[in-house]
Amino acid sequence: MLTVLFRILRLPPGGRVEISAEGAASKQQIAPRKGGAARRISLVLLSAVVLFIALELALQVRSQLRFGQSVFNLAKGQTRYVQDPVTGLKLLRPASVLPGSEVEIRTNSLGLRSPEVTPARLPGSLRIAVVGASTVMGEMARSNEATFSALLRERLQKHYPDRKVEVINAGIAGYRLADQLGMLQRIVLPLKPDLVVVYPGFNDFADYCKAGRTPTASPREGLPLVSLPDWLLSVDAVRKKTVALRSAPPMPGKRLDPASIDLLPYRQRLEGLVTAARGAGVDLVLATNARAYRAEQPLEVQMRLSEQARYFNPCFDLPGLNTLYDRHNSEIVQTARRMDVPVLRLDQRIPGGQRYFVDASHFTLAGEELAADEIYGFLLDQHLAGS
Amino acid sequence: MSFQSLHFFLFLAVVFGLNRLLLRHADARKNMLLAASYYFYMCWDWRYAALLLFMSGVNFVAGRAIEASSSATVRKRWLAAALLASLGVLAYFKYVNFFIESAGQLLNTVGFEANLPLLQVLLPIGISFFTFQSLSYTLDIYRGKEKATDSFRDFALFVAFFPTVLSGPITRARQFMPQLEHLPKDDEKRMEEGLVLILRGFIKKMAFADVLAVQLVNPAFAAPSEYSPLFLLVAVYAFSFQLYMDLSGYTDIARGVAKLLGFDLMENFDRPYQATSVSNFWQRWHISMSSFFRDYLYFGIGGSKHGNVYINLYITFVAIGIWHGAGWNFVLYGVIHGSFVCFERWRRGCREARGLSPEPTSAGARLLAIFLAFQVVALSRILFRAPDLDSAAAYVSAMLQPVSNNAPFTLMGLGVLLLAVLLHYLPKGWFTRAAVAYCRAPVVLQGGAIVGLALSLAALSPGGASFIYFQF
Repeated sequence: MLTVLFRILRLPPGGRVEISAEGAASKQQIAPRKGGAARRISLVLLSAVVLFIALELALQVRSQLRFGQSVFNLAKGQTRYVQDPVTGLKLLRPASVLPGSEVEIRTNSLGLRSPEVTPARLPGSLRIAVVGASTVMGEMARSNEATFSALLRERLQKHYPDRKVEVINAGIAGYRLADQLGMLQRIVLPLKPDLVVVYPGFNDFADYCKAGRTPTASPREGLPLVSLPDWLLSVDAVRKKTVALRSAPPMPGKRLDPASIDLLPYRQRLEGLVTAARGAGVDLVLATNARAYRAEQPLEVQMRLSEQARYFNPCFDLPGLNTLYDRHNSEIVQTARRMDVPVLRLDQRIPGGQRYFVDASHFTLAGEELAADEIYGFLLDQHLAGS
Repeated sequence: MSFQSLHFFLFLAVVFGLNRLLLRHADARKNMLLAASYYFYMCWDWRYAALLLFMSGVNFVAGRAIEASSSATVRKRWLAAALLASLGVLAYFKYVNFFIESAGQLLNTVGFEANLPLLQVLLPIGISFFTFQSLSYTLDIYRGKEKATDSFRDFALFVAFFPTVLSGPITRARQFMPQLEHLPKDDEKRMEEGLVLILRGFIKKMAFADVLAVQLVNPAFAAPSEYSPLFLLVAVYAFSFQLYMDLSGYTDIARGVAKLLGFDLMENFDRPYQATSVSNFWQRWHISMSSFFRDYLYFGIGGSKHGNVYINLYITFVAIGIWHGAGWNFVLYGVIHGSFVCFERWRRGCREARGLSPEPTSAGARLLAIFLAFQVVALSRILFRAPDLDSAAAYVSAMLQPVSNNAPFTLMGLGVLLLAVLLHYLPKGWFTRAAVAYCRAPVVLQGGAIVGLALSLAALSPGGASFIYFQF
């Protein structure tokens, strides 16, 4: 490809370097060539840029084929996510099929990875909504049918063969609790579900590292800078795959202490969800977050399974992340007890490890099925799935 | 704008392209480089561009006035004015809080209750470098070693030249200004050397300096009491190599960028950890800085010709220490190095008096000398790395009175340290051969190597670490 490009540009294929015969190796020099001095340098840099673009294109094509998500969608105005003008929420592109060889996402007219839902309900039907982020959406689930929401619907439908059962998958990747509250208030509650299950996910944690950066006493005021665009995959892919290479010894005083995190805002957001559901007369279940790595696993297993979490939360080391996650789950449990809502300990019911997790937090198919089983069993035990 | 940022690469591409376009238009080329240099500096903090301009203005005016006057008194006054203005600005921004703190401590010691308020001063980046660079011009004119330039634009470009403005090398006017008088046209050799230097600089910075910092140095210095003496000792050695890779990496990039634009800057390092004595170390380490102190301070106060040479050496090394930072740890750092240099000078004199060679000549003795000199340099750098004297003392205490056996060495940390040591002691010719082999390779392979290197660095580098010497 480069040769063709050079021919088009009428550039020579690059000169040769001669070693001057001045004796010792240390005297070797790059001999000057005739012709444009900058040409070769320009060619080298041009070839580097072309190769980098080629690599990036290859990664984008791969991402498009596997997940239906790439910069090409951005160029065509066919991005996976859209900002809904009515609700102001980030949603999946409504009524679309977002194809990929590994993950295919089909969305309903509301912009959810869920079957079509009408505001009007059939008499005697059961309608449950699961609110959350990428784990609920099924970031790594091959099809809509492989998400735990859909699997839960299957199980409930079998249990209630005479009733129409709907389980709305109201999870959107990247959602924090504040977004989940918006989803609950503006989309889920108007659909009048019988029950809402909230699986909060881990996205709220990312703010801690951003907030933890030490601000300078008097910040510099530089001119604006250009930085790498968010959609660039090559650098991101390399860094995600090489977290282990950058793993360093814990640095006391430099890493953020998870015990120092103020959980009051997190608690208030959880309470906001409960209050909103309660205000609409809808039952709500809070679920704790399950994760792949656990303190009881061997260290190397934990390190491998936690790579994604350490990539997104670089200000915590592994023990810190374990503590952070446990504190948040504990907060979910306490909030549920305080506000008298049922709590489902998915963190205790879904074991860690590669069998159930693709990465630190997203389920494999076995994980999706186990999650569906656990929620199903819990709802029946607690008599929350109607009678 | 950091050298590692996309913004810098775009900026460099534009400047490189314009520089090529303006090859035959010297004035336009210099104007463009001056504008680019100020833009580069303003990307760090636009407010301090005025300071850069002020420093240029003061020394330009003083230089012309000194040259124009035949009166020794007038010349001295202009020199004093330039020194006062330049060093005054440096003292205010860099040392005022140190002076206030020290005054407060002194008053408390003698029984007064002093709680002097510190000033909220943001250190202008690169101030130590561009102050010394502009002062060297005025001092050289005063000594008759340099002609004053008629062009303020040229002088302003010399002071603000973007490859050197943040962290040197501290370029002398007599090296740089002639290059502005006769702007180089087209030199492929220089450009290829520039490209190789830039690549080498990035490898040093991101694959060595940043990795050593994260894997060994930062944890050890964050909480020395939590680590074993072995880990702390290795971290001290690692810091020596981190510092070398960091500053010499920056210098390589700066020299490489300058070469791409057609300028030659001085070499700043000569395998410093192969030094056979502390004196020899300072002939190899940060040469642009140490030679500045030698030429303008040590020789200025008499050197070995006038006054007591040992006192002159102490003054010079304490000044070098303080140049690095406003703190008693840096003063002590200077005193330690000054003491060793004085001792070595005395010992050389004794050996010569006995008819012996001033330096060891046998291979074994040289190896031992290299080892000992490195120990002095590395261990004294505890003062350099620790934020203050107390922290340095705590580090030394943790090394001598261990309370922990924790030694969390990582394969990456130790591997990179060993590689850094190995590379430092390999023959220079090997690197030259590698550079030649790279430049011989087909263009596509050269470009591929750049991409591969960039991605490897992205994988290895903890990211976001700025160069250590920016703080000076």
